[in-house]
Amino acid sequence: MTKYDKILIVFVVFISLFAMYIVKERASNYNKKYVEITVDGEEHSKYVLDNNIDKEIEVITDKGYNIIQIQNGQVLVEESDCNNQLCVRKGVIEEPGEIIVCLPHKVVVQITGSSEDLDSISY
Amino acid sequence: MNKTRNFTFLALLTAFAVLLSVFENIIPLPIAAPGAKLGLPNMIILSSLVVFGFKKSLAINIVRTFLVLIIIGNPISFIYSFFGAISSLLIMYIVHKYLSNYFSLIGVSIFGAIAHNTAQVATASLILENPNIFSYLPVMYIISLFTGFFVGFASNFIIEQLNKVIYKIDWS
Repeated sequence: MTKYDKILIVFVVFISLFAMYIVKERASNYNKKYVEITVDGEEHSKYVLDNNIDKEIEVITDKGYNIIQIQNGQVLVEESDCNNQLCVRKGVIEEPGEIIVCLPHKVVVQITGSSEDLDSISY
Repeated sequence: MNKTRNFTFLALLTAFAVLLSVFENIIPLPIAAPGAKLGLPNMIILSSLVVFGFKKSLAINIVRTFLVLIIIGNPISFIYSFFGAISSLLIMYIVHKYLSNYFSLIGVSIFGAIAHNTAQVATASLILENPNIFSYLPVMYIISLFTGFFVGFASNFIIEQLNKVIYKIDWS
């Protein structure tokens, strides 16, 4: 291991931590949070995320299904018939910018935020 | 080395790489990120890059991704791993050729791992049309430091043995 290897390692750690900090910092500016579900790049559904909403959404794609649960201000993929189960093992997300991806089904669950009110939301 | 020996060697290394690819698909990782892997086949790719050169390791890499597609049968993950594998090999080749005075194989391997992750996440965000997938990247970079380190470390031993074997065959 050379000196430059160590510099590279420190550099990558620094960059990664900085990027994580930026993502977190951007998340704290919002007062309203939404759960957005997209399938293959197209919007499937959108929900308001707060502590009082308890919901189970079944997303059915041509490749399989994902069952997404919204509870206590947290979102998780509860069940999926995809082959790698990464979306289920990812666990809960709750802050804007956080994202669950199910690559085999091309399903993306992400939390977005905004600082203003929206007119139409599907509950 | 004559042509047949060359061919046999490449076939053997490809078989090893395929075996490691399938093996790492079975091992679960503690962190759930799309495309996060141990990078075990990269040990073979990196070693063959050093011992046999760019063209042959590219051949091994391409044949490997196609064989893994046939064995595991997941066309979507094939697309990700194909672009990841090609760009990782390209970066490792460039770093090894021009910057090997500065970086040891560990550094080369970390560069490869980072290129692999970046290409995979970029491909994923293109296919899903969602740039937010890049938020997985910092975590994956941290993981790739560990995997890259051990892959580079292990490659040293493989290269040592490979050189010994080739040397022996040439003299026999």
